[in-house]
Amino acid sequence: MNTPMTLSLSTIIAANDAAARAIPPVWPLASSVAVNPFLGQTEQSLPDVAARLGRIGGVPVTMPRAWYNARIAQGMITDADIAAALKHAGPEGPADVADIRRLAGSDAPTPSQQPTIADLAAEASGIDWPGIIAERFGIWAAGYFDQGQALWAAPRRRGAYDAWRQNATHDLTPEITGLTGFAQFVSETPDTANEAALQAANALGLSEPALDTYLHQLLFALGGWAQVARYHLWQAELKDGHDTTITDMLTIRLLWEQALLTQYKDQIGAQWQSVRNAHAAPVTPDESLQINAVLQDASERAEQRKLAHTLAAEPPARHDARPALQAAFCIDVRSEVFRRALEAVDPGIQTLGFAGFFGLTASHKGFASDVEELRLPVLLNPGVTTTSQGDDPQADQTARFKARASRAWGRFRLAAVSSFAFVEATGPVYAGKLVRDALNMAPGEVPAGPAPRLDPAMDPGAQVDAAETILRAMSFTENFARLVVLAGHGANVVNNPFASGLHCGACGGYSGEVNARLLAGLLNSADVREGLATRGIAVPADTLFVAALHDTTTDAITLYAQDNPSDDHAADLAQAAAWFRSAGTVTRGERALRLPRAAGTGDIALRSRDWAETRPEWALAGCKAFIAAPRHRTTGKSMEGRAFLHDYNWHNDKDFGVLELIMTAPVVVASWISLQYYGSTVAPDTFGSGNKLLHNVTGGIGVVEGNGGTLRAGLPWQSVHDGEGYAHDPLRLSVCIEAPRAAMTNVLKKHDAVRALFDNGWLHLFALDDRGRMAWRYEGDLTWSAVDQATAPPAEARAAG
Amino acid sequence: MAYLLAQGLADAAPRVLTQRTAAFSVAAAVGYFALQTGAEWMMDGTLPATPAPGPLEWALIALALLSFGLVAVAQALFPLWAYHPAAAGMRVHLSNGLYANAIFDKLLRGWSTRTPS
Repeated sequence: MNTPMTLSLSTIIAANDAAARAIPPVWPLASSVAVNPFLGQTEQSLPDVAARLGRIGGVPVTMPRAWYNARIAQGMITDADIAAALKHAGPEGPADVADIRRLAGSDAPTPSQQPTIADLAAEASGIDWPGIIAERFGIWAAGYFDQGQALWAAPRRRGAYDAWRQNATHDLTPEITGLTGFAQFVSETPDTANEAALQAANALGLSEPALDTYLHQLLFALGGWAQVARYHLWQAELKDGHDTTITDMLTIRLLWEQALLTQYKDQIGAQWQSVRNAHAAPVTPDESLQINAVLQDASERAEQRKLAHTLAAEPPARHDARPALQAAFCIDVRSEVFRRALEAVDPGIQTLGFAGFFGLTASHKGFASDVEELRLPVLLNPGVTTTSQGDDPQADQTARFKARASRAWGRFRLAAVSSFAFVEATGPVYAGKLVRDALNMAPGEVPAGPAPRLDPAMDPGAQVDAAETILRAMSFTENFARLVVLAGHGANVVNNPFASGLHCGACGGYSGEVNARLLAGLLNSADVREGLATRGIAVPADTLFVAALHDTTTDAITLYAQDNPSDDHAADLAQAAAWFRSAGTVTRGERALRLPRAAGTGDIALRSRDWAETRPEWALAGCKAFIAAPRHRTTGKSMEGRAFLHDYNWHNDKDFGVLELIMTAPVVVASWISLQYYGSTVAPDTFGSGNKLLHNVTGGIGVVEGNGGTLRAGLPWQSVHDGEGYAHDPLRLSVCIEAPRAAMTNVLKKHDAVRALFDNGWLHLFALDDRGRMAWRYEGDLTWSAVDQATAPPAEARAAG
Repeated sequence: MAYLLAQGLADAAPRVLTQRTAAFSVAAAVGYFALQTGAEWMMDGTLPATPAPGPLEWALIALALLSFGLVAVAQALFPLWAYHPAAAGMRVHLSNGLYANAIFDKLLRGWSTRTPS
């Protein structure tokens, strides 16, 4: 029974790597984007993941039963939905509809996690070892990962494992707290992380089958720090490199376990034996988890019925005349509200939807800055380098000096000695600023500066190629209006560490104006237009492309008309600006209904300047659908700001290259967003970053709740909850694409990772028919089933009020 | 002042930057002395005269001045030595506040999971 088994080095390396990949990455605050918290588990289904996360962290992956029960009671989830979900769950699934209805009324058992050695030691000794590890590890990691916030950052030479050892051999805290000889123990560990991990795993008596969930658990318990390390691996692998930070961290955590087991072996040895056995057992969901998954699926089917009903409505008549204005927006759900409002302002206005980076994968340097901002989806590598330096190097220099001088001032303010006298001497100087900011009188700033340009410039042929690819991907190749506005979007908030999370996810967590201005410049170039004409895309000579920024907090539109001055279009621009203002008013009115403490249109603008506002906007909360179809399928139909709208016309997509692009890029990004909201709603303690009021920015990369401990990744509670109820319904995204099923099946065949998302239910896929109705449902394993078109209208429509 | 100026005088600092930081230091100095003099002038006659410092007070004044001066010099020269390997151990001890927190946690049973009965 207690025979010492020994693992081999290759086994532990492989197991460490697998554990590292089970952790999702987190991006630094400056460019934070939504990340699918189940990224490492997309190859498994929801009940399987529920069982795994239950074992390692006691984490629920569905809502409490009462949430579903309320929806059943309200008639939003019908028996038919439950029956369909049951059928989909398969014969091994739970019993029948009546059972499900009954069980929805009872509480599901809370998943119980396996304890780590730290947990066992805490129980035996009365010392909070998990807390101490989190605190010690957090202090070290905050220094190690620091991005310019610390005055005295930790040394980073030779990787995380060495850096930590150097720290741990000097740190006396664990020994003061009660872990005898920890520094000595660390100094005697093997010199390489892999060998140290092997030694620790063998000392713990781990067998190979137990490694999977146990190592996952150790990394999982490090929270956001493990995710930061996973981000380093992600970035390295994008560039075909490798990074061992995350496996080093796993080794560090293993060494803590080893040291604690050595000290408390007599008290916890037997318990540890049974925990090891539990980890070695296969992960299988029990019936209660299966029922949770069925309820979740049923609630999604209920929403899909509602969506099908909306899509099946007859579209308004189409105008084939040349539009007065075309405006392309990001697929972001916030654009949907604005687009609907804008089209309603004047029938001559047409809008388009496309991923907000507009196909330009720019690594951008802002005005007077050497920081490379990757303004592109995080799945991709930058393709072009751009700069906003402008033509005036003198202005650039001056701005840099100004920034350096104010940085020197900032350091002076915080320096050890001068800080004492500083408050006395300059306090009154800050009084004005303080009053201005406290009364929300500081004007909001719109990203301005010189127009960005490609640096080095692209050669003319490549420019035409890029322009053609982008226009074809937008299904935008004919019937150009006199004025075409390309609108990126960004938020406008103060005192918000999560500001970048409110910006454009397709632009890597930056606001979208740079990419829009680049594309406008490209498409206005006479040479590019000439080249496009030879490729069959005739852009009329009187068409002007103008970049814009949609401020999603206030719904104001900034036009960058100065980039491409054109006197002929002065009237068009004035008209467009007026339309945008009207549409903004309508949009604010609609948004005010959802936002807490907003009585009407007038209450919205203030939110962008109020430093005490925790909910300046709802961002993407509520998202539930992704629709890739021509716009006239959705024109005039309210998606309530809950749908990503991508323009796509399969008739123009000869070899379905654009379809493949849509299903592998925007759909995946949308799934990350949707599942980020899902995770932060169902498990806010694990996949959310907690309460905004308690957040402390740490290391310039993330936040901790309170004064230390685990870095918190995910959405803050205030982003998914309005204080009284959920602002987001946790629904896995319904992807609706108007394209032949065979073409979609082919794309899924080619891309296993994308197929896994659909096969395992992390996304739902529907094919729209030639009338834009949801006609076919993807059932997994490359099969489809017809959607019943005679479905009754959603119950909610009747029950409303 | 010196720290602010030192930043402006760092190796590659251009002249414009030096001028700016110099202006900042003058402004900060003027602000400080203006405040002190102003306060003295306002309080004139309302507060009793400061008693003459005895040997202990002189020692404390000297200690405060010296330690402040030392920290200021250390911080100004910070970039030169902070990352020297010899400073690595000291960094750990200092960043943990010389373990004052850990010791108090121990004394106050801050990490105890057992609630006192």
